[in-house]
Amino acid sequence: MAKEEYTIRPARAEDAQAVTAMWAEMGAEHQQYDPQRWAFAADAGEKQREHFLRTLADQQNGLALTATDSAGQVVGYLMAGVTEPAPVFRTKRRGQIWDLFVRPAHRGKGVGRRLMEAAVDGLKARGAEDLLLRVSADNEAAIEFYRKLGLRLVAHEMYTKL
Amino acid sequence: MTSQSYTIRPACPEDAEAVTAMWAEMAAQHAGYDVQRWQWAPGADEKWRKHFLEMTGKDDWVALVAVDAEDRAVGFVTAHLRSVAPVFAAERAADIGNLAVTGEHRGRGIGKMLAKAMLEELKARGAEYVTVGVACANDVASRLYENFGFREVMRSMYLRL
Repeated sequence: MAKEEYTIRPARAEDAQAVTAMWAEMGAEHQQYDPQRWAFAADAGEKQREHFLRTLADQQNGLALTATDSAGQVVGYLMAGVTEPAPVFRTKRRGQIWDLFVRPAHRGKGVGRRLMEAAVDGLKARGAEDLLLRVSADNEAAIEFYRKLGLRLVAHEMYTKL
Repeated sequence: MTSQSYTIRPACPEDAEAVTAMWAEMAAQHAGYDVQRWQWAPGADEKWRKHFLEMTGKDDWVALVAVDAEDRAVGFVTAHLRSVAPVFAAERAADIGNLAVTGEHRGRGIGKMLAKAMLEELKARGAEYVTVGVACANDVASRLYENFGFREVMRSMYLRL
């Protein structure tokens, strides 16, 4: 069997359905880590779709990428953006990765790494000076993946329900 | 020497100087943990002082101070109330921004008093959950929050580009 060829490209509005379906898969993975923290709204899929479309529209600060296979099927996506930290920080424009997902059958083939490399280029082009992301504490594979890309752990993000 | 008694009260503009000094202490501690992640802007102390004065009294911001018998602030905690992204079931949440106790008053339960009072205040204001980011190297803070039922759900990772 021939090796699959993947393409990384900017996301388009017509990717919304595929991206939303992957977001739901990612949400389900997170619910296994911590069902209370990752309790989603009944219309979460629709809200995520709107968020995706808003990110596409925000050309100055938003960044959405998809990975497609040779048949043109979307098998992974990344959503990111540039934010402005509080004025006490020296960094004025900060890149943040909101979502990164690759369908299980396509993992281990460099798709996530290529999405991240493209995201770093895109964030730099939007003026980002640094990169900060949050990853589930139980998602060891993701933590190791980001570590290999040069990111380091800086903080524990703690939570309590009131 | 008798043991000091401390009181928790809402912060007021007159606390700005004491609170900013404690913020600066905390900022320096964090630069020691990771100098890139916590790289401060020139004049950061003054910027923080202005921020404190602007935010004090706003509906979506809570700042409490721990004061000694002379009403001098020796610790403080701040939090921000916010709406939650619409994909989530929860609607209102709060993020604790800073919690600090000045050096010579540490180890006397002031941090616990501040955290307890803040969680009660946030609950009263309608927050359904609370988050706080704690530097990986700050074990004292992690333990404090764990004692109030916090658990680590995420980790943040960083890279200078």
